[in-house]
Amino acid sequence: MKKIITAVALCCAAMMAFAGCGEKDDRTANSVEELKDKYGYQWTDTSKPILNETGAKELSFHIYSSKNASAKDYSDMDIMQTLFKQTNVYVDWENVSESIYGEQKLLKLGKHDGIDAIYHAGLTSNETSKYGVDRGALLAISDYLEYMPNFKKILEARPDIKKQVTSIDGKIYSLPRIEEMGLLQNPNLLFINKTWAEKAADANAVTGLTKDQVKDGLELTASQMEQLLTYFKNNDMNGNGDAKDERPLSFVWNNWQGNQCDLYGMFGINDNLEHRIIKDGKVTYTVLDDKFKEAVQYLHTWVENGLIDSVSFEVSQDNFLAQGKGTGKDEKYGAFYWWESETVVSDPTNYVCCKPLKGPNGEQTVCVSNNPEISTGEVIFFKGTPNVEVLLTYFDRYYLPEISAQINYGPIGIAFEEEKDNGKLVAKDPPAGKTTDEIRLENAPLGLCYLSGDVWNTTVEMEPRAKLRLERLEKYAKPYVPSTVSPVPNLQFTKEELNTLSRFQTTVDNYLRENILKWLRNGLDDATWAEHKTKAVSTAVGIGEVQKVYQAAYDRYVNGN
Amino acid sequence: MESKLLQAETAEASGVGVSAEAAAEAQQSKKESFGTKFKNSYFARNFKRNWSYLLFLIPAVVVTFVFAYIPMYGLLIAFQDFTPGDSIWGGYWIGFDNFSAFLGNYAFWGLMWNTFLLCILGFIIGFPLPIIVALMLHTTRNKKIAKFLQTVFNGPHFISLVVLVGMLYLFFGRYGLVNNIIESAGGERYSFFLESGAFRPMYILSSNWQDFGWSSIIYLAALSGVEQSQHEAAQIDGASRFQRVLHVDLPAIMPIISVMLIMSIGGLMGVGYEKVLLMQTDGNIGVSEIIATYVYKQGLTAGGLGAGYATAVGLFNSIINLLLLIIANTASKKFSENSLF
Repeated sequence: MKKIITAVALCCAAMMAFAGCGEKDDRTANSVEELKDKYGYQWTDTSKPILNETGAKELSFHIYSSKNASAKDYSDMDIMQTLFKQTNVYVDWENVSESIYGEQKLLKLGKHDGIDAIYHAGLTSNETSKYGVDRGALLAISDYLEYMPNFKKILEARPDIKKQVTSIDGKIYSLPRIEEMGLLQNPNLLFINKTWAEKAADANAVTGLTKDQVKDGLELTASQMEQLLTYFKNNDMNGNGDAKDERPLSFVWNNWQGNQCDLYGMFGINDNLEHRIIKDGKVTYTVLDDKFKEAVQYLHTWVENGLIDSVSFEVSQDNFLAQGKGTGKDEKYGAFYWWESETVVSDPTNYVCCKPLKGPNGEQTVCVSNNPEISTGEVIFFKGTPNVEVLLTYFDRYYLPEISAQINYGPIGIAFEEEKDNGKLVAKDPPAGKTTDEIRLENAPLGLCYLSGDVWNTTVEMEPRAKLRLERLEKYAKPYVPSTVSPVPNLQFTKEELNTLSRFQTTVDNYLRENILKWLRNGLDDATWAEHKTKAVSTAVGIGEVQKVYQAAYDRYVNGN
Repeated sequence: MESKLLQAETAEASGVGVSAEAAAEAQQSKKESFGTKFKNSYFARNFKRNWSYLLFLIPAVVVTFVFAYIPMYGLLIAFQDFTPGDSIWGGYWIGFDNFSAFLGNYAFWGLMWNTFLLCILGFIIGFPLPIIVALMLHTTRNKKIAKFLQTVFNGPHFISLVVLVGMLYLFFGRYGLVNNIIESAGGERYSFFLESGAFRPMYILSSNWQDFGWSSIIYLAALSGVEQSQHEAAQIDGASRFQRVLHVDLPAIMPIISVMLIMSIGGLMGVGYEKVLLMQTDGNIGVSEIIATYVYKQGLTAGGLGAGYATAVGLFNSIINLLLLIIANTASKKFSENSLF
């Protein structure tokens, strides 16, 4: 017994000892002058090494990072080795799985023994503000901008990015990932079954629709769409003998893409999942607009008549995608919203991409989503890291176009051909048995990069899928967004504002989620709408308070914090 | 040596030789200069006599202490603006702010009502069901069938929550089995997951379906202790099978029933968030938002009030449960002889 007690006691003591003292940092901190003298530190010429050979041997940094399951360890990745050769900065990667990182994230932020920085940190702006401004655990990168020529250039060229990464105290605590393809703002496109629509035109079921109109760019009014969907619903379109298995119009309710928001566009509402947009410089809730009521009342008839199948409100994305598979007699979808037809249906050539529907009052616009293409909080650094200037210069290199492309898609030699075409990286065909996606997941660390505007034209080509989608968006979505409407950017909130938000956010979400679906399914009368308009902005729900907070934060954003 | 000791103890316990031992002990303790009073107390004598039995308690006490009492210091974070990784003594004390934020929330009464209703309905159906099943299984004359049925009833208990909810979606989804049957019978398809009226029945019945067999085990165990002679006596008196169940079996398991009743009332408000969250849709969120799911959203996901807030609401919930437990226990003490403590 005594032995056991002693053993237990010893174990406890040992555990406490381990917990008590972390790794001891025996690296010496050097001033910039010393770094220059001893290790040849330079940051101005972005094509030359940052350190000399001695620096490569003597300085090291420990970076904590999550990685996706199929990726190689970052230390083994070609691009990381290339970077080491080019910069002479030795980085020791500690990779953990994404789920482990999810558990460890806050712990590591609180107590970061021996970790100099976190890559793929995924900090929300609230977290950045908490650990940077309030707790002072994060390094203020903005104090070191002179050592980061590329990042500095980006900030100068793009004040909007600067505003989004700058915390409430005017400092920058994290490096952003910027991959701007212009794809995220409009997450929906309307696709219509070509064969079925032609049948409907043959049968003269739709006023004014002729067979040769059924091609990409088809423009339908709300009443034409209604006739078309009714025809889909009442007839055995796929010819399998069952007139009930056709689904006239499908989408995934409240999904980040392929959602219901575009339907409200028929009434001039630029809806999104938060129902929050910037209109004429004001933070606006679409659900307070009387047009929203009209839209709901109109769409309710579609739901009631089964033109929008109720299954759209309850299924997940996976189920939606699975139901779309099958050709000929197994085809089920008459029309659907998604960001491309290729992933949804087996035969995408049989589906035409349409312009937004034209409403009864002639309005024609689309959803404007709040998915930012700039993710802040991608890499953060801890205060007290010795020689942190070197590390910052190292990560600054990630923003070079050619490095960015390799970080995002995979290294030259694997994802790209060794030979460039007019200075442009050329995508390499994947080896037999592997797909481009697999190659990318395995060899690209993703994360920190700057791929935007010119870079797409001068350094790297977009993937074909992205190109096709962009082409369609340019034709069928972007022209229909009024210039006075824009998504809500990444905003920075003060502590009081955050408290207000967290007090009301869940209530507002639940209130809207519950009511919007209820109205759509059960109908909405004018009295209920009037009651909703007063109730929603009162403190009982809190849209008014949330709107005020967003307006204040947006005003600061516009006026440069 | 050990067996001897055991024998001696058994002898002591059964009262043989107690007097001699006790006298010797008493004399010894008189000689000692301090603590005499304690040594002579009932507790001390009892302890000395039974110490070896008490030894068996040690593992249970240690485990309870280490895993149930020591972690309680974590409750302190209910009074802090705490984020994981902070030291618990790190300061960031905010007093009762977390509690007032919750109690002052507009959603508070709705959440309480939803939680209460979901639990109480589940309790009303779920509590008597296993008792009835146990009594029925016990009275079944063919023991082979009884055993078989018991196995069948226990089966669903081993289905994991996620799989269970997946099954619900498959069976009760808009294009699921149930709706296909309804349609072929000429009815309209019904969206079980979108109608708020369907949420509670679906949740409660599926939970009870999963657990009634499992919960009946304890009553079956109690029933197996009913003496056969009582049944025989009742049979001679001409009692029917139903009368025997009512007047022999049921009274015999009454103490167990009341203990189980007190315990389930104590856990009444302690419904977990997992299953509710899995079954939640925009259509039923009005009735399916309960304290636990709200805390999960507000405290642990995007809401951002954080761990302190979640702990505060959890603590609040536990206090309600404790109060319910005490009330149930007191009531049970008053009206019957059975009580938990």
